[in-house]
Amino acid sequence: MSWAKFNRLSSSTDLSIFRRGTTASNGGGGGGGNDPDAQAYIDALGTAGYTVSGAEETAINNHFLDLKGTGPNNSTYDWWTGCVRLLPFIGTNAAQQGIEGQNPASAINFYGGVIFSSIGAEGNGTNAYFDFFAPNELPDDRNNSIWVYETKNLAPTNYVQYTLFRGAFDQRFEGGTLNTYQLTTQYIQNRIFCYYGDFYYGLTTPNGSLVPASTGGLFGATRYKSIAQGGGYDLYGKGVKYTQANDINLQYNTSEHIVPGLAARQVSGPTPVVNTFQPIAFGYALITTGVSTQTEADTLKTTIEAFMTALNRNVP
Amino acid sequence: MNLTELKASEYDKFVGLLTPIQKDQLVGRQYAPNSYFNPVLDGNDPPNWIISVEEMANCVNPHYEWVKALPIIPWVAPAPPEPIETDEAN
Repeated sequence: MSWAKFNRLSSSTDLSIFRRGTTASNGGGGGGGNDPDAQAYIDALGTAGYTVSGAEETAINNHFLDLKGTGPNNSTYDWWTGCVRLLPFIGTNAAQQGIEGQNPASAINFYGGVIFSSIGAEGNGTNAYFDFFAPNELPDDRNNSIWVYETKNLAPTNYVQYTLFRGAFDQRFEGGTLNTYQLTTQYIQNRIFCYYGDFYYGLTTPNGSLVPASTGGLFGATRYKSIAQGGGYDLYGKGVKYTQANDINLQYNTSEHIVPGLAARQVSGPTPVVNTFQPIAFGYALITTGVSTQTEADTLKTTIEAFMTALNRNVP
Repeated sequence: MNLTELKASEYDKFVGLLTPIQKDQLVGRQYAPNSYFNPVLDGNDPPNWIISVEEMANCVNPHYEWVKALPIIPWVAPAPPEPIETDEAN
């Protein structure tokens, strides 16, 4: 391409087409080098007004290939086929960071004062959360894994991060915990746990088990099918795996109303009183088919951390 | 104090004060694409309805430009949540 033609590039989409060396028009489908799904995501960012840098384009393409088992960090596992939600949180505003990697035609919504920056979507600690996914998107008849990478190391004070795994549709924001299962990291006692519905927890790690005791890094959990099928969890915190083979039958009613993603809130009296919106920063989120072995989890950890490092979001 | 007097580094220390009517006007409404207002109660007694300074500063919805002129008050967080207790962990 001549400089004269380069100078006529008028949009980020044009620039993206130039980078991948094709002559395709909008939505041309990845031609030259990039994985077509990665290219669709890059194009969606361009349409939303964000110019993807060369480094970001390489990072995105490598990560999509990794999710498919054909990338530089993973040539074995397929996490793409069962992917329900992929959120790389790239861009400078909600419309850009909300674009879903697995379906760039869709985007999640954000509520309250979410802060958007190069480290991802960050809660303001006052009233911010995001709409991670619709709980009815997850089938009960398969194992599901949820993974989040938190890009800010906050001091280990009273931070609690709830991430809703699945719940009855009408209970997404306002209901109790019935028919939900969740990944929770609790930093005041430095531990993580999962639970299902009225069974308050299925697996909790010991106090002090998060080392270092800070919010940054990769957390994950696999839920093994429905409780009727035996249930059970694997939890992954900062590279350490914990397993609970079956659901523990402990009744524990909670008044907490769960918000997927950045926060939880509790109800006091007839009027909801917010008291637990957290300032945690999210750089990545993934929901896919169950990750079941330490080797697979280690590979996924390597894959996600490589992506975060390429985006300068990795935390020590 | 108003929004223009605040530095971005001070956003987490202040919020915009709403009347109950204003709160009702904002619930379920977008202040920017894919971004919704989320009025909440603060920790004062009695509590105030508030929105964050981020929502005020980043509002591009012309129907709600008035949020930029809301009174600014210090953020008083509600009481912190109790740690989640489980028998096994203690």
